[in-house]
Amino acid sequence: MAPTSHDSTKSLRLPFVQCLHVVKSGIKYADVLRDIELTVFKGEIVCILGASSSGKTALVKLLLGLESPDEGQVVVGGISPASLHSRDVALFRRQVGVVFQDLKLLMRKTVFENVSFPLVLAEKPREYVENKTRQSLRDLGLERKIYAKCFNLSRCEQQLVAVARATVHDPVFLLADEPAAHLEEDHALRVADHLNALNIRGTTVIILTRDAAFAGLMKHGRTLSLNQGRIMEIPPTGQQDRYFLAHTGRELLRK
Amino acid sequence: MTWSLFLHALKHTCNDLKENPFILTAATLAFTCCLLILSFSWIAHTSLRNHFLTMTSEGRALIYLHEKLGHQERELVVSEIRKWPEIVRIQTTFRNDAQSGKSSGEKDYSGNVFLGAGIDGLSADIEIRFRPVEPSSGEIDATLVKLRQLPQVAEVFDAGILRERIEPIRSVYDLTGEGVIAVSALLAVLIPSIFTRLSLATQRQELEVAELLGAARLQSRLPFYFETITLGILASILCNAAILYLLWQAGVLFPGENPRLIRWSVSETLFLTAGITLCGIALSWFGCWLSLTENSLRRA
Repeated sequence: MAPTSHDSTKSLRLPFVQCLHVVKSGIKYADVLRDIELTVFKGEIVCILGASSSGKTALVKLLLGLESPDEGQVVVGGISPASLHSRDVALFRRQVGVVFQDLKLLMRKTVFENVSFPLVLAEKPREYVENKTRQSLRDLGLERKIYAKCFNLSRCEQQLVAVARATVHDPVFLLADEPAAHLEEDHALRVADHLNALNIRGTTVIILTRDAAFAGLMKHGRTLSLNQGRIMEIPPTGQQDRYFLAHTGRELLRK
Repeated sequence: MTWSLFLHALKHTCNDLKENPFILTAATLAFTCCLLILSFSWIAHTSLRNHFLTMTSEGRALIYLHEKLGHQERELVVSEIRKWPEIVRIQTTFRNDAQSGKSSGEKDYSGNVFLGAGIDGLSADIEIRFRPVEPSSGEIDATLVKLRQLPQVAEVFDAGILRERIEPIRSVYDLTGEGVIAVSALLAVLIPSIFTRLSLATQRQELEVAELLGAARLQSRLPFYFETITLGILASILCNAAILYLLWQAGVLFPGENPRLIRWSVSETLFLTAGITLCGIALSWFGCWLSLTENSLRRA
C-alpha cells in the first residue's frame, strides 16, 4: 500500500505548530491559557477538546496572530504570527484556512462569493476559482445552494459554507474552531470526511471542539484536551467506539 | 492585481451602491455642489486675472469724457479718433454711429469697457487700442498727448496709470478668489472623505473578513476607492452638465456678442470639462485616501 502523506510527514517529525510555555491572561480572557505546551507536526491532524470558555478561541487567536501571548512563544511554520510585519500578515493568512466559531460569513453575499473569496484574494484565474469552488461545495453537499444568499441558509448550511471557505484553497494549515457546532450527524460525517481528505493531501489540521464525537471521526487524529488552561493528551482508543461512547455520554448528560 | 480581483471589487462596489442608494445620491449632490462652486470660483478667478492682465497691457488706453457732454459731442470724439492711423480699435460704452449704421467704422465695438478702474469706480467711456509699435518709438506717448489735448476728454489712463489703479483691486480679487477656491476645494475633499467613512462603517464586517482571509492592503481598500471614484465621476458629469448649460445661457443672454467674463471656445470648453472631470476624480480619490488610514481601518 502506498504511504499516505500523513505517514510520510509523521515519519519526518517536523514540528509545524509550537506553543512554548504560552500564557494568556487579561480582563477578557482571565487566566485562560496557563503554560500551554503544544507541538503539532507537519501533516498531522489534532483535535483539541475543551468545554465552553476553556480558552479554545483564545488559542485560535494566538495561532492566527490576532493576539500575542503574555508569556511564551507561538510558532507556526517557523514564524511567530503575532510579530509579522503588516505586509507579511496577508501572505501568512492566505496559507491558513480558518473556520471561525462565529463563522464570519458575508451574509449579504452568495454562497459562491463567500467560498471563492480566498481564491479571489489569492488572485487565482477565473476558471480555476469557478472549478475549485464548485468542487468544494459539491464535496460538502452544497452545490444546490451555490447562488443562494447566506442569510437565506440554515445555520447548519452556513456552517458548511464556512468549512468550504476555509478549505477551498487547500491551505497549508487549517484551524477549525467548533467546525461541527451546528451540524446534524450526517453533515458532521461529511465535514469529517472533507477534513480527513484535506489532511491526506498534506494539510496540517487543528480542530478545537467540545464535541468528542466529532473528534472521534478524525482518522489518524491525535486528541488533546484543553482543561483549566492546560493541554493534556488523551490516550488513543478505537475511533468508532469513541464516537458511540461520546454520543451515549451526551445522551446521558441530557437526561 | 488580476482581472478577477478587479471584477470582484467592481461587483462589490456595484452591490454596495445598489444597497445604499440614498447615501450615494446625497453624497453625489453635495459633491456636485462643491465642484460647481470650485469650478465657478476658478473660472471667475482666472477670467478676472486674464482680464486685468489684458487691460493693463501696453498698447491700450481708457478715455473718460466730461460728464456733461451730449451724445453728439461724444460721437464727435469717436469720429475724430477714428481718423487717427495709430489707433486700430475703438470700444465705447455708449452706442455710437458705427452701431447705428450711420458710418461703417470697422474699428468700433460697443460693450462694457471696464469696471471699477476709472474715476469714482465708473466705467471708462472709450477704450482704444494702439497699432503695435516699439514702446521706445514714442508714438504711443505722442498719441496720448494728442488725446489729452482734446477739449471733450476729461482724463486718459494709459497702461502705467491703470496698473497703479488696478493693483489694490487686483489684490483683493486675487485673495478673495483664492480663498473661495481653497474653501470649496476643502469642502470637495471632505464630502468623499465622509462618504468613505460611512462606507467603512457599513462594510465593517466585509473588511474584517477580508483582512482575516489574507486580503492585502490594496485588496481591502480597492472597493472603497471604486465607490468614491464612482461618486467623483457622477458628480463631475452633473457638474459639467450644469456648467455647459450655464455657459450656453450666458451666450443666450448676450446674443451676437461674446460675454466678456465667460468667453470660452469649443477647445477651451472641452479642456474645462476634462479639467472638471479629472479634478472630481482626483478630489474623490484624495478624500478616500485621507479616510483609509491604518487607524480608521483598525477602528472599523
